[in-house]
Amino acid sequence: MEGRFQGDPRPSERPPVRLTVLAGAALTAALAASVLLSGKDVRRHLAQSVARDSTLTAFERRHAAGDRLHLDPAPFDAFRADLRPRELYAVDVPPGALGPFITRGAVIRAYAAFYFLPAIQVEQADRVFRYRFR
Amino acid sequence: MRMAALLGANALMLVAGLGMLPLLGIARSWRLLLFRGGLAYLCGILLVGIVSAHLALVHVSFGWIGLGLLAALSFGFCAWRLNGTERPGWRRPAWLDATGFAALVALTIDYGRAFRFAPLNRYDAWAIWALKGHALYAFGWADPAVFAGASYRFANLDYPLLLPSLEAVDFRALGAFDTRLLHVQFLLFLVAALLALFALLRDRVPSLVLWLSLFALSLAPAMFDQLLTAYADIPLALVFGVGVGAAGRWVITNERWALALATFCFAGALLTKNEGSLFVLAVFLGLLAAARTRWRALALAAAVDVLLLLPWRIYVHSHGLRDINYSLGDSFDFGHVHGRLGVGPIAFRTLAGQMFDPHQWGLLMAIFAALLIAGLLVGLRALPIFALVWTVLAWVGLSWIYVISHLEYSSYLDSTKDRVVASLVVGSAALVPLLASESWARLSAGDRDRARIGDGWTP
Repeated sequence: MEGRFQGDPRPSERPPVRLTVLAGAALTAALAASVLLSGKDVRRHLAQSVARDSTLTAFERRHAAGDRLHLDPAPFDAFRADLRPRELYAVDVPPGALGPFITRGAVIRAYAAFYFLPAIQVEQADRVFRYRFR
Repeated sequence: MRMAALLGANALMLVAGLGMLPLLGIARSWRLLLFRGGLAYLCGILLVGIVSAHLALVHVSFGWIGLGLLAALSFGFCAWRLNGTERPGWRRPAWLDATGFAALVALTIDYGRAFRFAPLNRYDAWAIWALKGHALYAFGWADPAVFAGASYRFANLDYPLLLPSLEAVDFRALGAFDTRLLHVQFLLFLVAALLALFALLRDRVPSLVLWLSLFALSLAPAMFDQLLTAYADIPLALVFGVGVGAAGRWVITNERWALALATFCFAGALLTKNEGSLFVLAVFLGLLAAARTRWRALALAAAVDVLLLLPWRIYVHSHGLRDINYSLGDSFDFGHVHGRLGVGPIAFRTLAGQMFDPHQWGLLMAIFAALLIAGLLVGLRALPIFALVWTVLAWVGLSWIYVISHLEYSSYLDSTKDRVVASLVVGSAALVPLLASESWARLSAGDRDRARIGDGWTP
């Protein structure tokens, strides 16, 4: 008796099913289930991404953002061709339809700001990028 | 060749991070440096991000020379600080850890197949983050012509610059504005965070639980999908998550280095995205609730974080930049808030649905919730209280943003709900191994007590 109290490592005669074993098994099973469930989903997403993106050409890659917005790349490429770094330009575009947050025209301005960097978009300038919706 | 340059730049970030380990008190000897070396990569990324973001405000560009200097200085400091300390001895790695690392390498290579080809086509990725990264690369600093320009207001100009600065460092290393390889840096963010969590928790948590937790996180579909968008939400979540893990460790152990690491990660979170402020505030309140008597250490940590954010806030204030989506000041516009109070519960429920969706985050949040309850039931207090307070505050805070915003709430919620919860989920996931091991330890103690009584011992 005294030995047990002082930490006798001998097992008791009828070891109970330890709560720690049950909890540990449950946790391990839950984490493993999460890994398997997610792994199955992510394998599919990965395969789709590789299939979709690995064949993109340099042109398609350059215009990927514009494509997603269904923009015609030609006017953007034509205007960018002779823009110099830090050159100031303005954008002339009608407001267009209102989307969830901003108008279609505002989207064009944003895309132009991204696509024409390192030229700098300002509200008024001698050089003007004109875009009209078809 | 460009991929080699990107990996070379990241290798220098890793070396730069080595110096942070003795500086933060994480490694006080060569042996500990090796043991906790997994933290070096994330610390290096954060160090480079913070330094280059601050330098961008004062017209100093940060590229190969900056990276090389920072890495050399940092490594020199590390060698000087650890000179003469205990050296690591050779130990055969545990088979579970070896398997875990092998699986992590395999996962990185597999994910890399998608990340090295992904196009930059998601709105926030090009309109906010890559645009700013490109501008920093092209102009060498946060030129107000863009960073405070009226035509660039759409780009959330008040968002801090850690991520664009890191992208700009990469572009300088690559020698081009490369919208393809940019995605690989996001994958490397994940690798850095997983290594950091492993190094942070490896001596507190059984290997099996730790590795399963790390893979449950890294394989979550939302982690893969959102990381691939090149948005800032997952980098924020990863940095914040490591900070939460370190904070949780500090709650249990009161180790000073754990709080120092958390503070550093929270500085990174604050400088990544404005939402970082909400999450970091929630965590500090959680820490205060769980470890009230250690308030002095917490106050010092909070002061350091505020100090590191200060230069950016000065820039924002001096250029009159403001958030285009919401203003916290609108919380006091009673007319506006009254008309939108119904949005709060909708947002709260919707965000819960996102967090618990098994096809986005697996079972991570369900496991976290179960462990939190289990921890309270077995008698743990500090860690579950910390976990409960910060998650609830962050969740309520996120929901409140939809209330005070002037944007049409259903569109706003629909377009952001899946990603704003990332920090909540990753932070919670970082606490899963700690909650499990602490509950386990408490249960084991209970089992031992019961065994003693069962063996006939009476006091």
